Amino acid sequence: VTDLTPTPACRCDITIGDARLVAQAPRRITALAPFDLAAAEALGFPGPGQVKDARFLWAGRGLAFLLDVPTPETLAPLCATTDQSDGWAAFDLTGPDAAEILARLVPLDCTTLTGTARSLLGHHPLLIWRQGAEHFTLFTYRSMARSAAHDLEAAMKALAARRSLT
Amino acid sequence: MSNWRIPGQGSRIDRTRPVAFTFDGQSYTGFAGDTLASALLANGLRLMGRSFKYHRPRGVMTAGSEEPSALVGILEGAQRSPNIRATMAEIYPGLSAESQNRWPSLRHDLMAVNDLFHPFLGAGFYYKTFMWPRKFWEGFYEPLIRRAAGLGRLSGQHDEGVYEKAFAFCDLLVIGSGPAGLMAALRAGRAGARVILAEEDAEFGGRLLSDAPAIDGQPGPDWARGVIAELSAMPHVRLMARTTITGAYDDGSFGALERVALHHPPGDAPRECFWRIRARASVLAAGALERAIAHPGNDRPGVMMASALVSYARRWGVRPGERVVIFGNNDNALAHARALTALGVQIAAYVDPRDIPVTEDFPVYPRAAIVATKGRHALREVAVRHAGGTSLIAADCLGLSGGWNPTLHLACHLNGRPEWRADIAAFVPRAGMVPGMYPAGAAAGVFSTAQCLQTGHAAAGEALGALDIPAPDLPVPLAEDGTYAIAPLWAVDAKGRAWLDFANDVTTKDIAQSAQEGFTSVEHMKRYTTQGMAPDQGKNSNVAALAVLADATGQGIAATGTTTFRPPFVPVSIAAMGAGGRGMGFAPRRLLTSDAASRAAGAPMVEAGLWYRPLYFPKPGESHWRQSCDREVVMVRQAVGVCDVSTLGKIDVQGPDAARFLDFVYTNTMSTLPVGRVRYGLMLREDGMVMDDGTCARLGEGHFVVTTTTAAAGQVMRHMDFVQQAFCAGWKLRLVSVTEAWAQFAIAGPQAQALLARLGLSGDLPFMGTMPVHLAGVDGRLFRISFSGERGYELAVPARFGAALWDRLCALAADLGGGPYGMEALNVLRIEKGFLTHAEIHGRVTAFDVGLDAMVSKKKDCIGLAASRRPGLLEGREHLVGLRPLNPGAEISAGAHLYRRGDPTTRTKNQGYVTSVCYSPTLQGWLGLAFLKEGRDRMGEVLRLDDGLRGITVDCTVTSPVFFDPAGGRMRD
Repeated sequence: VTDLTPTPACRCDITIGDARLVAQAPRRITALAPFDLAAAEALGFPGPGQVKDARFLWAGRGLAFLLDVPTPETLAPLCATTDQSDGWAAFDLTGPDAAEILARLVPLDCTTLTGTARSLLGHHPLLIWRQGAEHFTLFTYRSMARSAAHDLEAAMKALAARRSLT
Repeated sequence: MSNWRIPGQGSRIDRTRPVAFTFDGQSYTGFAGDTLASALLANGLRLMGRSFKYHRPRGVMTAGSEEPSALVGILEGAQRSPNIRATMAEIYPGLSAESQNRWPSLRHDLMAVNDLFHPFLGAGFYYKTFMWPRKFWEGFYEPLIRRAAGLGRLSGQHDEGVYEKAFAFCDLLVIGSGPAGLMAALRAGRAGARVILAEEDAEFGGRLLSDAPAIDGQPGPDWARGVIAELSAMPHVRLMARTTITGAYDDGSFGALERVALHHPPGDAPRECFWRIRARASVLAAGALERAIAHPGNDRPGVMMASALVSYARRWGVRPGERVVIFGNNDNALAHARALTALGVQIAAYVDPRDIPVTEDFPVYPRAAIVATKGRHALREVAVRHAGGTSLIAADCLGLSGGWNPTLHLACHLNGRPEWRADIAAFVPRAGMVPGMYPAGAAAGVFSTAQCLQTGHAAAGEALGALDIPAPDLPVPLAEDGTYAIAPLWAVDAKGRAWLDFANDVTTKDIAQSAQEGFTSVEHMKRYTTQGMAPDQGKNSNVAALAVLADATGQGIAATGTTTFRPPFVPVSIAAMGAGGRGMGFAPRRLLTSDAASRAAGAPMVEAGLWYRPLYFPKPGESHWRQSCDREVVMVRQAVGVCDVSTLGKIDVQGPDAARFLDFVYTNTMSTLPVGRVRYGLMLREDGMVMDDGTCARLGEGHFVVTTTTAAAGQVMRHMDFVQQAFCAGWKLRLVSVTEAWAQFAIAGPQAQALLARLGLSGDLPFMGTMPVHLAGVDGRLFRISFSGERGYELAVPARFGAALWDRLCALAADLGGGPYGMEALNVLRIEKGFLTHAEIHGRVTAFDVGLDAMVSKKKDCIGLAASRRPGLLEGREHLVGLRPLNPGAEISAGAHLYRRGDPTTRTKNQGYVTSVCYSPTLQGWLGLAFLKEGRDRMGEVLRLDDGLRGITVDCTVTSPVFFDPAGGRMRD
């Protein structure tokens, strides 16, 4: 065997109405889970819903996702470390209607959301990260990426069609 | 149609935009802004439906969502939306509506014969009549009644329309946009609070639009438009027209139904959106519903609510009749008669039971009542009983006003009971019935415009105070502050049927009969008479009905009380609540990395734990799944097969205490497992039953990977998380699911190692061993485990390489005389080996039952151990056994039960049941796995397998559940 060509979880780049949905290119995602939850903060872990340095994301109880960079050597022995680069697929939803589209699928108040939250995207598991006023990054399970994109696209279409009503 | 329009009136319609539509196939024209009801009235149509039971002709009675009678079907291609209130359906070009519950036509409905038999069809008729003969009920009476009764019918087609569900959040939800709601929203909006203003109508303003009282010297509608303009400029205020709040739930949650595009021809926009709104506080300003008066013949087309007459005249410019009689018992009714006169509608008579002065511009009958009406398809005449006798008055329209019922439904949805106020003869909400909800305006029982504005202002102030938001000092505008005097009149004492519930054909006599027969509780009366059980849920009749009941029982209204108010406030289409859930939207789809290749190979898919897995891979010439399956089984036994097993749950367990923890969750010991080895493991639930089985691989001193079955992956993760948090707090270990991160493929068969060699991997691994591998620059994992009974490996690579590796594996397997195999072959292979799935470990079996008691360590404790030793779980149990038909070719079935030969197939003689079956091409016969009473002691016994459902009876021999290679040499060596 000479090579294995990687396949993305989902190919998606659509603009409907005032929003754009793009599937992110694969990136390194390392899940870090400190063995001692009480010491997590002292170790520099983000608190619930927090994001540090735009790449260390709170991702659930005692769990953080480190994006793009290797695990710092000081942290490695104190955490369970798993490579999730292939486990989660990420989408960027941007545009003035982004929060309104998410209101169709996410049971959280996305207009006031800051940082990250674990929730649902329709029926799909979700880690949502607000990167800007009109920029949300949505992480879901890789195997469900196409299913999630379908639901997002349906919500985008419905909202755009509603906007076009006179 | 111009005859029925009032020149210069009609704030809601645009006379420059005619709209053509059809009703019962007949073409009509209305204007943009018309509802179906207003457009039909403007075309002179009074007859719009037939009543539920007696099929009496009925017309529209109201101008709102409470409409009981004008229920129609809306047709869109092959679709039919039944029971749509004509008052809520806005017309659009090409709208096609039809009447319901009539045959052959609305005017000539043969089922109206029921009305002739009304003396026999009163309340309780069903219960008394269809008792005998008993067996006639299901086959004869019920279908007959269902055909005769009922309202609209569904098309029987899937609803292909677009629907939406959405969430919204606010500080203050204002329900209703009349004077109270607008005032509350304005104050909260100016305070900077996040406000949602929900209005059921297409237009904001509530009764300001129809009654048009002056506010601060300007017409009410203008004032409303001004407030809405200000609110719509506030980014923190959301205005939701055509949105009905349907229910109040715990913790400030509300359901709401928005009619998004129902007023447009079918298109891409959602028809409806079901909202879930979370509000920190709410103002209930939903107004009030006018109630009828029960008098004989009060249900004819042309009999309407007095307030609806004013609405139709002012908002839609519709003249409700040529000669209108108003029958009211309160000041508001008189005001309506004056308003109609001012609008150019001829009032033929004003009839009031009170002793009021006769000083109007129209004939007034004080101390009078209407005692009869005439007109079959439309009202022609009313009979007025007054001090001077009974007069017949020609009239084509009768406006009733029995007073107002505050729209307090939402306040009662958490089971609070409202309070009776005798001075206004109505129930009003009590404080705190829904936490954080502040009633205002007519919903709180105040009826003047000035008081509505004041209470709306005050309610917003209270709500903002509770939310710690400073309330601005907003002046309350000046408006009329008239009194509302009422003399309760629920039913006119006269001969003839007087209707209470127009939708369900319940009369005052039915209520009296209910009381007479002992159903004196209001809840019993409701069930006995069906009053309040129609689509309007008694909005038009509940209070009057319980007043008539109170009169019959002598209990008084306050003591009688109301029935329970339940959501939804208006009918909500299932399609809206289930938006997005049709077809494939029902659940997420989990797709394997091999998905596209499997589908391209023509494999049909089966859903397992939300995953889509290939059933088999058909080859040219194979026309039946069994041919493909048999071939794939033989292929694995004789050459090599590859199968995508990525769906198995994979849980990464890391930490210094990981081994100790696994010893606690598994029945067997994992701490003694050497690094680089894999062990089969069994987990119990806390009640001692088997929860799941799987493998546990030790990758490092403090690093394990646990596999679970596909279906139980979530359950096992949750269980282990619970055990760690609840019982092992402080232990140093963490659990992280890595199911999605890896694509994992089984390679099984005598040629498995040869296939690995062609991949450049040695495969030189002991049975139940694992090692890291390096494949074309990719780090992977290799396990030597087998679910087929053949020499087997599982090769895992990061998921992004799954598709490429699968293609490679299939090609290499083909070179070796093998190929991919699907779920069907996988199932046959495992049954031949007696391996378990959740067909066997279905939640009611112990380790002892499945023959794995030896795997429950006696040297340590584990979750479920003590419970699994309970009395009754170790003796007299059904054991897992194998079954082989005496005639090997005789087909057997899963779900069949086992009996001794000669015994009757009755419950008490049942010996066990079959969990899995297959045809084994390896052993040339049918095999089954079953649970049999004391089965391990009954090897060789011949039993009768009986499947009553499928009509299968086959004699079978009891065997070991391991049919093939019991020593296991094929997979071990």
